[in-house]
Amino acid sequence: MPTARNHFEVLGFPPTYFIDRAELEARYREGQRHSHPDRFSRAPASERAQVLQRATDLNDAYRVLKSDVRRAEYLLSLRGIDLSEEAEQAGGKKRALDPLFLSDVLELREELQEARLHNDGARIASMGADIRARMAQETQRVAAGFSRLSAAAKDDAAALDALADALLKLRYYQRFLDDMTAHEEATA
Amino acid sequence: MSLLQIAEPGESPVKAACKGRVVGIDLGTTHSLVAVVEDASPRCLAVDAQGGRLLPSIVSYPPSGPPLVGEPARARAASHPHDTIASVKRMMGRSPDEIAAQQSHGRFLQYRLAPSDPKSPGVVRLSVAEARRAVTPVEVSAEILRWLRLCAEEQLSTAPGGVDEDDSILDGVVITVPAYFDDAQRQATKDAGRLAGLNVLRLLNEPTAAALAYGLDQKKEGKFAVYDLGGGTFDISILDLHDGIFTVMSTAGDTALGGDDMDQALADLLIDGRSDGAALRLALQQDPGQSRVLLAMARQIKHELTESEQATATLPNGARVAVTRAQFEAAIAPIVQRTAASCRRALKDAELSPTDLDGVVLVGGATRVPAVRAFVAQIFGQPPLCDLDPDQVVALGAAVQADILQNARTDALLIDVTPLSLGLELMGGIVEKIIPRNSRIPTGARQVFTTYADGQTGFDLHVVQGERETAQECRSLARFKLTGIPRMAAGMARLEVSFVIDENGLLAVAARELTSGREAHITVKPSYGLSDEQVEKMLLDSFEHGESDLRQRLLITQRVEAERILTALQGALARDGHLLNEAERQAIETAQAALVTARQGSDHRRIADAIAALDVASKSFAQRRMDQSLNQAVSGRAVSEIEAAVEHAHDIEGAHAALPSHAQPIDPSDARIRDLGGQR
Repeated sequence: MPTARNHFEVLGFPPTYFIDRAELEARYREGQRHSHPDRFSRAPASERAQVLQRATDLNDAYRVLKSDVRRAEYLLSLRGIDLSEEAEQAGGKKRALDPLFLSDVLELREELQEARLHNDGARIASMGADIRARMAQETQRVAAGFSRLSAAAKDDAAALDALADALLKLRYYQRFLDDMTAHEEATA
Repeated sequence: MSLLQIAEPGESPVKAACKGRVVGIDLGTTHSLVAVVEDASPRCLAVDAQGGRLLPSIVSYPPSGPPLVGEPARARAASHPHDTIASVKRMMGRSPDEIAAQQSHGRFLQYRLAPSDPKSPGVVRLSVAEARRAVTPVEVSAEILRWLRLCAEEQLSTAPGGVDEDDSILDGVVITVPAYFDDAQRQATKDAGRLAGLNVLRLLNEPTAAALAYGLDQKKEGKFAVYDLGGGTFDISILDLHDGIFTVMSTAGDTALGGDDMDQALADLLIDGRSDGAALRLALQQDPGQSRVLLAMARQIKHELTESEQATATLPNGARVAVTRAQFEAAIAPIVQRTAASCRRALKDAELSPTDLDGVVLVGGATRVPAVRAFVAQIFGQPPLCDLDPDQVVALGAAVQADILQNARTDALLIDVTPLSLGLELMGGIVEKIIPRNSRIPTGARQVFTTYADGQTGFDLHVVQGERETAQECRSLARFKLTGIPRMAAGMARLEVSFVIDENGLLAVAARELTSGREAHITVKPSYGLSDEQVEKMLLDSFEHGESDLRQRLLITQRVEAERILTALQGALARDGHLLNEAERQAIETAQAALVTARQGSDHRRIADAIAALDVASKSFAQRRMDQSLNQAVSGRAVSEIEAAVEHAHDIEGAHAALPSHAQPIDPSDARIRDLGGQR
């Protein structure tokens, strides 16, 4: 929902990638303690509507900030780099990914198909582990990118591009993992 | 908590200013309970004249007169299988097609489906009262709720500061539902509440309710899994308890899995293992009353096998069969195993591993089965906690949440999630998820879509709920149209759709076309549920032969109680009257006479009060009678005589304990279920 404050402001953080998880949890809880609608069940309707908006903003901000990927994407969007698919659909500039990476993902998908065909659970499990390892690596690249950005006096375009690249790769990997687990859930 | 209901954008449910009492209700598959918070701690209320807390969720419809609820209904199950509805929760929010599919799997066979009402073809109707009536699952549930409501009103009005007879004592109620109930099932539950004349403040997820009661009771902190295996549903929720704030991290489950399935598996085991099994099964199919008997017996054996290694059953044909715990465990293994996938998914959604959990709480009667406990211990790598009564804990938590909502309590707060993903159907029947499952509520999300064809002037929007990829496999919530968009080339129009879920789980959907900047009006029509007029009509029907009759039955119940107590007292006075001095005797006789008068009147509360007064007046008499018989016993007599005397003392105690007083708390360990005197 449109809100006047950005997600960092809602939870009282500076716009940074490096957020203490325990502090995030504590601020979220404190916020809900003071603005959850159940605390205002007897307040007038106008006040309840405000409270509802505050509680919604808190939940949305928490959801974005607690996830490394979503927080990173959000930080880029605050710098004018919109990685969302909506933006692409709406005619935004499509970011080109390394063709080697794309063909790699295609190969992985074929391998997964093959493994499913042969009911090769062990193969699927090891592929999952491999993807998670690659994701951990990309996540490290993201963290490194943000510390470089915060050290620099002004935004470094190359660093931003590298970040966007890592985040898009993470998205591909995540989708791959989601498909994998969705299939496993459905056939379990 | 996450009742999902489609509302016009901008509309929100009106919550009346509360001033009276609020209660929590656990509307269970096999049992239902009602609880209230008094002096900051919750307790379950009595649901029958004997002070039992568990009301069997069974309703029986005789050919004429009001329906029977609870134990008296259970007593008719074998003789009137078609007219006696058990486990109605499993039919809530289900379509006739879904029930028919269940019947083809051997479920609900004892019931007769009546033709659907042409006005609402999607609503199941059961033929009852020897085919003189057709009732919906919502109406059956409403009978259970109505009974609980009357019990609560009875007990709360006799408490100090009671409310006027004509005034409704209950201002609001929180009813629990399985966390994994979908929107149709929640809506049906809410309709049942309305039909029972209850103001439903909130639907609360059962495992969340349990965690609330557990966390507050034990002053626990940390991350907990609540494993809730009830009569007919399975839920797993993971919660974070921190300084009075209960945050649901994830929830998963199966709305058609529970203790009932264990009974069925055991019944199958009893029959299929025999050489005459096929013949026996055929006979049972032709006699639904006997299959009820068999299921009841299976349940009995299940309970016995919780304590002992072996149990014996007598089949309907008279044959005796022995069952070992190992055999039972093998028979239910697939059922228990089915809970594992949900547990893993809940952990994954909460981004936790079993070692991150500080405890696993067991809820639901089926978690008493040792094999279930062992399985839970294995999955979570730690022995489960079971220090609260798994039957009562959900109702207690519901009462706590009602108290939080009513009194704006500041020491506890619950943050819940939406259990199932919400999305829109796209071109080709694919579902685009707008709000993913396990999102904390209240929440909102919006997404932009575009047109598919050149010159398209409208959008058909289909809101669905569920995890599957295609709309067909998800549950349809609502359809609406957005029209009047200017003609544009395909892909040019930009439609922004926003979903908002408020703290009640109420979903509002709005759509706006961005390039033209204009908002179109949306009419949302729920795809299921009862219309207001339908609820109104059912309410009128129930007034005709429900409500007043229930009051009448409460009166009869109290009269029978009075009768029993007066008879017992008469005997005691004749035998031990010499123990009293004149003043004491007069006090008792005055109270006795008052009860005789009250019993002749038509006010059941006056009878209850008179019973309580007589109880007070005769307290010291009872004590003295007990002392006397014990004294006699120990003054140099044979052991057998002493034993007989002790026995006699117990009888006196028993006769005294037969004086029920609603105003008194009842021993929590006593959850016996007996029938309501005078109801049959």
